[in-house]
Amino acid sequence: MKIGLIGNPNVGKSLIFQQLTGLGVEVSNYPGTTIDLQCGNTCFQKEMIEVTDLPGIYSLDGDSEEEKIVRSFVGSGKADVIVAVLDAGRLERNLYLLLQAAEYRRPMLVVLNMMDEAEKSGIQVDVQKLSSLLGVEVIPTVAVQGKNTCNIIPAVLSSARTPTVKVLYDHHIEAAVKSIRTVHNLDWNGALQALLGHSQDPDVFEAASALSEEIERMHRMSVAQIVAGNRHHCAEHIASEVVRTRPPERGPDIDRLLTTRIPGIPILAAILIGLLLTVFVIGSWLEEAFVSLIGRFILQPFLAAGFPPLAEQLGTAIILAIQAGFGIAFPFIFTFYVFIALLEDSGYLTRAAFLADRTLHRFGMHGQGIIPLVLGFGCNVPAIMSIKLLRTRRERLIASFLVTLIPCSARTVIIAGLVAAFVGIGAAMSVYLIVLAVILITGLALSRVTPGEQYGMILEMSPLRKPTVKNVLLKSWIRIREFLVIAMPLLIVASIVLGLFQYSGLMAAFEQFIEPFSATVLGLPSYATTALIFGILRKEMALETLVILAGTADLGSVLSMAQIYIFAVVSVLFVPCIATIAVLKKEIGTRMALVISIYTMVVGILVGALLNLLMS
Amino acid sequence: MRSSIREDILETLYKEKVTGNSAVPIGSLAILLDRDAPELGEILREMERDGDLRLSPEMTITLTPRGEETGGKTMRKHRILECFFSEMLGMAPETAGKEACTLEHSVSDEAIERLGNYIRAPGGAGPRGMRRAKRWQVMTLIEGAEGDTLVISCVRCRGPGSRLHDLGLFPGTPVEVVRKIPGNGIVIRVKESDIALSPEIAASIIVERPG
Repeated sequence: MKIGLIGNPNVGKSLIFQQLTGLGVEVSNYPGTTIDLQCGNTCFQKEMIEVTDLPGIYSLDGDSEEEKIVRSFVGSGKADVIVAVLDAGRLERNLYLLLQAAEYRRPMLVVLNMMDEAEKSGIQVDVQKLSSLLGVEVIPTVAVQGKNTCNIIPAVLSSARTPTVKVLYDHHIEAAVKSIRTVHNLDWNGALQALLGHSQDPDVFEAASALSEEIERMHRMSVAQIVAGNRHHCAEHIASEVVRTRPPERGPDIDRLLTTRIPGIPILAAILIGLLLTVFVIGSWLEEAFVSLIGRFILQPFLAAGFPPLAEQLGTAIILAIQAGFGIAFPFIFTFYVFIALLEDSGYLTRAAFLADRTLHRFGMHGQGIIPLVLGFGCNVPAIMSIKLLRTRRERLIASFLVTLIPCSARTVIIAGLVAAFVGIGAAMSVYLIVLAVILITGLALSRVTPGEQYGMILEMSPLRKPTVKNVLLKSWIRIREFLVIAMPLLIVASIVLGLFQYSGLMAAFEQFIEPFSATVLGLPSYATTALIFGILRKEMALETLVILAGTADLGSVLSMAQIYIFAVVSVLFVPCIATIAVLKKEIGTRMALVISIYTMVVGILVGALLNLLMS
Repeated sequence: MRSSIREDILETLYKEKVTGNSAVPIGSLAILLDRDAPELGEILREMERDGDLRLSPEMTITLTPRGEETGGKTMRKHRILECFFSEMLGMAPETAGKEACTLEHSVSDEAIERLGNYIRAPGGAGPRGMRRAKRWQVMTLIEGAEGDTLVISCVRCRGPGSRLHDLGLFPGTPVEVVRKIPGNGIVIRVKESDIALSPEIAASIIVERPG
């Protein structure tokens, strides 16, 4: 048995999904697209139930990626039961999507979530009446507290049924649907979808578009607008029947502090800077402990065991990969995710987007762009994955460029481990300033040259809530696991390749080849350039490779301060890591991924050469 | 039928009054309306009882303030409809006038206000439109101030417009301006949820002040 969860964004759908399936979630890729659908299994009375968490959407009619995916999922009949999750406090708006889903005439169940929050804001919903108006079972829940969510699966099995609610459409729409149905063999909803322009069949499409043009001419409104209006009307009617409101309990208006220019913007800056500093302090402390533990208890015993040279080289490569991967993933990225989840769950992130809207406009993006940019400081991979939430290709392209330039935690490791340790804190800060300048210039330039229209921000502000520890950790865990799935295999393979290169002597040949270039342009010894190139495999590997190739951890004794500084700047700007390139390719195509890689390489070398000129 | 005759009478009397003739003899009213005087007399007495007009002993008719209001309203309806039919739909002025005569009695106040609004919408603002502009202020959402409650009259934006429809921003929907940072965006409350909009999006949503 398969069920699909559908609902507006921010209604607690994912939380319900987690509670239904536990932690046994696998991230699967929906064929042919780039949107991740989460699937999980649960067992009830010896029956295996597969639950799919669909992306949060406002409508089934739109043409964004998410909407297309959900539409094809619901339309394909892959799910035996569709569970619609509604926010009790915003029933009318949520009913709009439900009414659309109901038109597919599939067995459904309605989960009315966030009953507690609705109650607090003075909204009471007559569950019984809602159920009879819709013709489906309605289960009230409070997912944050886990209240009543255990009844969802039993209800899916026992009482899911096809909804009886029916939207009253304009008579021209009804007539057009009827006439499509008499000619083509379609059900009611299929004909309506065709009228809205969602038909794959060219004959049907042509007939439907002739009809919809006719209607548009008569009403001076598009079919989509008329249909949406009718649905809103129906949702409004149902909501007015079942919702009772009384004046809400008014608390202090924290929002006033967070969303005004003063003190809103200083608070935003303080939160972001505080976030980066905290992650950095906690991260480097944890990483040090972790790396020395692995070194003492795994790497040293392994080296002492005396394997044959090839095996030893490969074994060391794998252990180093794991050490590097976990050393970066848990101390830095996980800590970062915890803070992001806090900001997200508390509803602050949407306020940050609102405040940042104006600034980001200059870079050709809008407020929502702040999310990938902030995520980029943790790791570029999830940041690039999150550019999906930007609506136009133009914004996605600009965001991809800027995100790949943002110093992620791996690059922070380089800046801290090299510049801060061997040159000084001030110098480390100046690296950030250089990167920031490059990002600003790139952004300003891109907003002029990137083709495409710029749309503004339309973003629902999530209400301010108190995040719960459990949900924050759960969310961070699911994300870090996603990250490990993508990054770990690449990391291990890259590390093995590096080990083999060293073993076979190819490395020495490469160094000889690159020597003149690196010495004249960047003023670096050839092994440092090799380290830079291996940094493509994994950014912080540039530092580790440098240590290995230099033969000493005390880099100050073999490299001058200027060389260390140049190495750090170039490796921070230089080509994104291989995992980022892989995600870029997936999200914006091979060509643009290549363009971005080449751009960052050119910028990296140029800035490095310039610094070399200035410093020597 | 009765009420439409009464409205016609009030409208005609109002027109006469505007032209300076505040006491109209029944005879001339009968000619203006193309009806016989005895039939009119009966209706006029009825209207006097209801307080719409006063009949003097010399058989001249004067409007009461109440009657004047109804007459004025009916005349305005007539003019808007006539203008719509002749200028916008291209009907012959004579036919347009006749059509307006029948419809003016059944059209609702709101429909006529909106039609009037539509006629003088961008480009069509005549002197009459200017005079009325105060009552039905046409503005965009970005001009709203914090705390205002406004009613959406039109969403002009292309592209992301459908997303606005999905969120419930539809003609006729009331919205409340929750937060506004000048030069930045605006936060509005629609159907219990807060939605942040960029200035250019807010500027493409036409709203009215209710009432």
